[in-house]
Amino acid sequence: MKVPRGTPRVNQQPAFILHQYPYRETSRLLDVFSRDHGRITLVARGVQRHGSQLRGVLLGHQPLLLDWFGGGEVKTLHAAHWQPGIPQLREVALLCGLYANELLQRILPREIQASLLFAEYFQLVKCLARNAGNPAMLEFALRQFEGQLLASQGVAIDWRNTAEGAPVSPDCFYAFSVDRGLHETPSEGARGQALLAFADGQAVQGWQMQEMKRLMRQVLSATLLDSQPLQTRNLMQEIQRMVQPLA
Amino acid sequence: MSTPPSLQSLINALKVLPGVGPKSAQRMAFHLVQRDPAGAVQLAQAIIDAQGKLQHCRLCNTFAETELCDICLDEQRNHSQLCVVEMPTDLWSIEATRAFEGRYFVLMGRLSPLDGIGVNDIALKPLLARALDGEVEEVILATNFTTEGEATAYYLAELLRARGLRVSRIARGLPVGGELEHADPATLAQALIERRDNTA
Ligand SMILES: [Zn+2]
Repeated sequence: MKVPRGTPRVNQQPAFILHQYPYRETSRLLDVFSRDHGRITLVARGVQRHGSQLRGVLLGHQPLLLDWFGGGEVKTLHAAHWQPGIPQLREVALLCGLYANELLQRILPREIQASLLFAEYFQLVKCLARNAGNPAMLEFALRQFEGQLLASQGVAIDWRNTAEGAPVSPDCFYAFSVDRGLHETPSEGARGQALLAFADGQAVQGWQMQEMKRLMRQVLSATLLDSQPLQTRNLMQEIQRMVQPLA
Repeated sequence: MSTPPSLQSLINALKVLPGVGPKSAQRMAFHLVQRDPAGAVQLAQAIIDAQGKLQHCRLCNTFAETELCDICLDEQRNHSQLCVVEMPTDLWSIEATRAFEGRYFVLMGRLSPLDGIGVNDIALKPLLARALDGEVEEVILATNFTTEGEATAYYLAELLRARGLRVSRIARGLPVGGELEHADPATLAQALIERRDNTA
């Protein structure tokens, strides 16, 4: 590929593909989360052509090293190398990975470096791949990543104190809203016990996880998400309903 | 000077094709009316024909000109195996191998949550009707080994297992005649992870 002199180039950049879209006859647009350049859009030319070597490399949830050039909104992929170490996500772990990608697509601004979050996403993908058969662990990894994503966008929640500064008590209930932040509620919230365990980094499970999940959802929709429902969440709920038809 | 309305409407019509923007549509339109008027008439007729004649096979959902396609009408085929694919082209690829004697179901798409394509956008109801017809014993999921194809396979596996069906997934691994040395590393890694027991 001939590149005009003076064109910005990036080589060997650690990155994950969040999603890919067919583009023109034989190309794809890649929504990429890179370590040093944040979220960027790359065009992968000719990848849809018969026999393209790139197709076996441009995989979701797999660590890649990417070379690209160009200074515009859409840059051109020059080379891609697959990095070993993470089995491809399958089944429920794959849906969890897709959920994380959807969150990133919805929340992460383009072209802004987010190296810490990149490292956390890398850890998440590893954890999803290694705990494929352990739904409780998958859930916990997602909640942690949600917290990290919130923090990366300046929404740092202190699970030990309410917005008004009162310490969270194990036996009280808590909720989150735009105007009040984390606050105590008479009932129908997450129990303080769950918040404190989560804040301690304990792998919460069972009812505690369910309550943290609902609370985290409140935080995300009150702060970073618009009113559009998350498609992967719908799909996961759909599957949940099938697996436990009576629950 | 403005574009004659019929030419403009041809250009607009060509833009429905995937990957065709205003520039390519204009180029195609000029080619059709200027260089190949006979081809243009043929194309117009073919589109009208296909639109008028094609329907979805009542059983397998693939394109057919009759209520049931040739494969579904073929009594020699094995009724206990049902192979689920994304698109008719996948069905044709498998048919060309002659390695499968059962019957098919064509989803006409795949789940793709990040594109907003959910369970209501693929042909689930007819698939369930087909899989639960009492004759099918095994459903073979032959969706693509892409993120979306894998997510679709997972969803369908849960859906069909919950209804008591045996579900299998086509295998992936090294290409036939493929030497490890030349295999792409992601495929080789997955072939090791998904190795099968050979002790029996
Ligand atoms: Zn048919």
